[in-house]
Amino acid sequence: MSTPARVSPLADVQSAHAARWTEIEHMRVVAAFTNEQANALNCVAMGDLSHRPRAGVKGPGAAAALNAAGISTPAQPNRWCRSEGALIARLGLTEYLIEADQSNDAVSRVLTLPNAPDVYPVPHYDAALLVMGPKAVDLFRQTCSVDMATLDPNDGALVLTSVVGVGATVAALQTPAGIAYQVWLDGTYASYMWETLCEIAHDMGGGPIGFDALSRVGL
Amino acid sequence: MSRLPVMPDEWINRSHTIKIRFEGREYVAFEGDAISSALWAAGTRTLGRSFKYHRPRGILSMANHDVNVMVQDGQRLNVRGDVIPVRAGMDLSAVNTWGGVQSDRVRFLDKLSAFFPVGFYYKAFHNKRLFPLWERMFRNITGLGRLDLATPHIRTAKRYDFCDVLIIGAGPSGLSAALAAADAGASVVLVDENAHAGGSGMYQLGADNTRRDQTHTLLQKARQHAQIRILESTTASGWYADQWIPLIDADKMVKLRAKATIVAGGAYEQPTVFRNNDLPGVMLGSAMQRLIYRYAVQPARRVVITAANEDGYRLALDLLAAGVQVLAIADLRDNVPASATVNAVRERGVECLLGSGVYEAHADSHGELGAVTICRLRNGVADTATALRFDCDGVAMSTGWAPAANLLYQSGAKMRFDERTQQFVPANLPEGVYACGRVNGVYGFDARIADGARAGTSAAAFALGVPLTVPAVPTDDSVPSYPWPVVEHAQAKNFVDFDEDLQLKDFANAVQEGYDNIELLKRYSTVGMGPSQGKHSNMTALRILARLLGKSPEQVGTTTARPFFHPVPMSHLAGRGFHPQRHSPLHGRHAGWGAVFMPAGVWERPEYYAQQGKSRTDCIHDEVRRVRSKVALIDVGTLGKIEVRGPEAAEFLNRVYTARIDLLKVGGTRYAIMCDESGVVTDEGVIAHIEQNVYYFTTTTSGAANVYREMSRLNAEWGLQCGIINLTGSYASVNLAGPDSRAVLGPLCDVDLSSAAFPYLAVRQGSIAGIPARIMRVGFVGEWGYEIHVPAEYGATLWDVLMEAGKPYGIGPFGVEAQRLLRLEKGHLIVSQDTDGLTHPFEVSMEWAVKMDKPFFIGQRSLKIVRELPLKRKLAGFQLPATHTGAVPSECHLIIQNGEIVGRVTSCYWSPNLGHHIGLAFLPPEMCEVGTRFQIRLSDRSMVAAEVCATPFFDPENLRQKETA
Repeated sequence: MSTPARVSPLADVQSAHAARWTEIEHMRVVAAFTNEQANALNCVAMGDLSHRPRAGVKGPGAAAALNAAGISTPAQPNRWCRSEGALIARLGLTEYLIEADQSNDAVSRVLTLPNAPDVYPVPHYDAALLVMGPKAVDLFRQTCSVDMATLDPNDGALVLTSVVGVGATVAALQTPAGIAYQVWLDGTYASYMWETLCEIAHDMGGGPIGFDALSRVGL
Repeated sequence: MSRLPVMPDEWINRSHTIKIRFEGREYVAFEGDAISSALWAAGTRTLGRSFKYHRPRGILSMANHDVNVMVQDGQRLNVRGDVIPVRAGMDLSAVNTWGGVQSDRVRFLDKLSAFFPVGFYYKAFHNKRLFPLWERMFRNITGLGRLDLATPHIRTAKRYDFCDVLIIGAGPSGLSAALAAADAGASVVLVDENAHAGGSGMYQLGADNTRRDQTHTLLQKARQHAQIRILESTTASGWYADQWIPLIDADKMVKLRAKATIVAGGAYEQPTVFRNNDLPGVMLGSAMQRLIYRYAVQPARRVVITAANEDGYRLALDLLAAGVQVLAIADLRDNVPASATVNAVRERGVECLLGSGVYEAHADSHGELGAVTICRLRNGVADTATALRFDCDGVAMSTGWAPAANLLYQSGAKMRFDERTQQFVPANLPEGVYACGRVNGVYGFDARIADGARAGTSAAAFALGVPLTVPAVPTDDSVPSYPWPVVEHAQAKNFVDFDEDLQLKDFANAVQEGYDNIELLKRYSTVGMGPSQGKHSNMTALRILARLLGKSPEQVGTTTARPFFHPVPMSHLAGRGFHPQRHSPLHGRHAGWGAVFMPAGVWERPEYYAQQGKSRTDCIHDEVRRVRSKVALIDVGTLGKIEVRGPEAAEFLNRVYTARIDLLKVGGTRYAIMCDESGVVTDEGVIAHIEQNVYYFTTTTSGAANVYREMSRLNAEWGLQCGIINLTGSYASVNLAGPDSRAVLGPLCDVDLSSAAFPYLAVRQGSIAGIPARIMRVGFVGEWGYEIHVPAEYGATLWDVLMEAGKPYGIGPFGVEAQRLLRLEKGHLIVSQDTDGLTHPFEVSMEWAVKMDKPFFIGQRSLKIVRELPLKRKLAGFQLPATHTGAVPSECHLIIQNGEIVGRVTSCYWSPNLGHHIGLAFLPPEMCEVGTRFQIRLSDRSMVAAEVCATPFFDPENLRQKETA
């Protein structure tokens, strides 16, 4: 039997504006949008990283279980770190989100953690957006009450907050294209958030960018 | 009136003229002119009418508080003429008139003022019968503009902003504070409601440029400082917790959060109370200075000043410099301290009448100021034997100030009344809140700058968490306000509140009628309740009340200051609305099938799937028939989905649900209900024992978030060894239902679907077309069916696979309405539709789901009590005669017995399978016997006959779940 297709939580909302598609990790991803602004990356651009595999784990024994699996964890709550290329986010005291691309097996290792009485797997089929560009902070200032300018990628700080009225986790990342903000949210709110952010970004002169544009800047 | 020569810092651009219309007449203004300055420069002095008596009114403050000069600009209402800049093509009309400013049809009301005494509203409106009459009349003659219902929804952006130190007010003290805070390393936001920063340092000059030069220097430094952002034309309109300040500009609201805030908003100059102090031409001294220095407009040609402080003498010098003839200064004080300013005025030959005030202003033939009478005063009472008459076209009032302390009050500051300055000053400020300048009781120019540096340094130290040396402030002995700026007059019309046309006598009458507390007085007299919110009346009202009661202002106290202290456009408050919506992972698939969506809380769910040429009802009945006869698919992904894991997971669920979860075997499911502490049913769902110590269960769509939150709270309280995981958004769920459901699913699935291996109410884990799935055999709609839960990212793929596999069986989707009808046929209730906030399990025949023999579950103690009491109502099934053709009962229609309300309908549908209407209703227990007839009253008050019948209505033996069916 062939591997079943994964469908992005943003597929419905993006399909009307998709100029080209590509497939990554068995998920159709928009390679380019019809309404893609050439200048978006110099203003505010939004990309979709929902295709990246991710997993979660929580419970008093979660950190120890991850460490035993060779995955290092942030020492402080509401921080993220890299572990062999995977992004490990500590959401509160005892909950962790692990995200990696296809070249990394960290997610697989989390999904196969041995059963333990104080370790609870948390499936993550979130939507993941990347907001970047010189006006990214301005976009958040219209949609979120947290000052994203204070998030230092080198600190590994992340915030659990509300963006356009939707609960979201936001981390500042240093990327080849500068500071970018990754936003994770419940996939069932993804269409609403994408549409709303696109509308505001468009007013600011920016908008969505497809996977090709993300790849060109090393993401 | 006329334009003056170019002023050094004037706000107008003389190279750009703009044409506007006001009350049908065309005016030529300069860019940068306020509406009022443009009209005044053209010689128009009557700019509006007062709210109650429709008296002609002109400029009062030129400081954003001239509520009698509010105009309608197309669809924009209540535009404040004293500050709003002119725009090409403006076509303006005054708001408080009936037929225009000059020919206002209700100007006669001024003559009838005796019939509109204080408290008139309460005296007139107590009669309900006459209320519509009054309402119509007042809407015609007041109304504050005419609302155009076609005004478009303006989606103004809302913004958040952040800084270390916010400074409200960019006058000398605010600028000084900004520089001190910024020099200390703080990021500073400096806001000012005026179009240009600088405050009084740019217009209260006394014809001496030293003040302006100093202010100019501060302003230039601030503009060039990398740490300072200056926001002009921006009002800090309120104060919320944690220093959350809404900043309002022309386009939007910015929600600014500062670590420290300095209020440097200055003070409002206060009118002097004398007869006819509202005639066009009578204005605050500072208003005249604003006209001169901001707009280069000569405020009048011949002016009398009523003064009681040095500002009045400084004003005299400014007027003289502007070519105005200052006829006299009537100073309320008996003795005036010598100063360079006072001496300069005397040297210019201006007559200074000490211990005197304006007793009365006289109108000319246009109803505008033509002359004044000045008398010697003793304690506010004029000695008319000393009367002197001056023909003049301007009276300037410079007798005192009130601090702009509204935001300080809102911040929680404690204020005290200072006798020297005759104003309230901060006694105790909350942490991180500072005040400087006039609002802090500091009036001397140099002292204000020093006070700003003090506040700025202190605020920066607090915001940055570093110790800083705070500079000292020199002693300031200014006496800016006169304690009794009131002149009595037998014929009254000596106004205290210009917004509401309140006269001096109104306060005495209100106190006489028993409203002798400042809060009561406010509400009864409406003082301070107009658009200016008491900025020019509250302080005087307080002084009057204090004098009437023989108390001090401190003892009388102030009214409560609440946000917003300055009007905010509704469009700014509405802003860009964020209304989160949830879509299931199958939303696009539903759209592809022609779904008509309906809101279900924050979700959008398919109500039904439209078919060309068919009505909504026919589409729903088609879907129902398909479920009963073939196979159909419904998205149930909006249900809450929660997992509890751990050694004590069963114990946890045993405490939360009323059922015996500990007895549920691995591979089994159980319908369960949840109660609150009072025994009221709060939620329901199916609990599946997936594997050892792992339970997966559903909740109602609307209850998911609350159930998860409450469970998390309970787990924190109980400390059981288990974890709770909210999977609502992580899993997609569908219900494949109908006689052919097994045939559709079988070929796709690696689970044995035989009745023996997978019986009714069992749960299995396996894969469907390679998709990992949790499959439950449940029957909410009363058919053989499978509730399938898969990771959200595979939901759409699962849907496609099932639809493809079901094609030979005539598969199709069914929506919420079909599901509601199908479950009703089975007599299954929906919590929150067929229950309410008082429903306990025994009322809905759920005794079987409540295991009272458990050691504990939430609500058990209450249910033990409830169980011993007689039932007051019970949910029962009913049906309408098959011949019924009229209107149909719907939820909340009442059951009437002997003229009394005895119950209500909770659900009612026409069943295509049964051929008649069926429903559920709460009835008295004695009426629940099968066959009992009763009447349902519809919305149009017609009655429908119904009859109690047994439930389930359909397949009562549950044969559809059995192999033999």
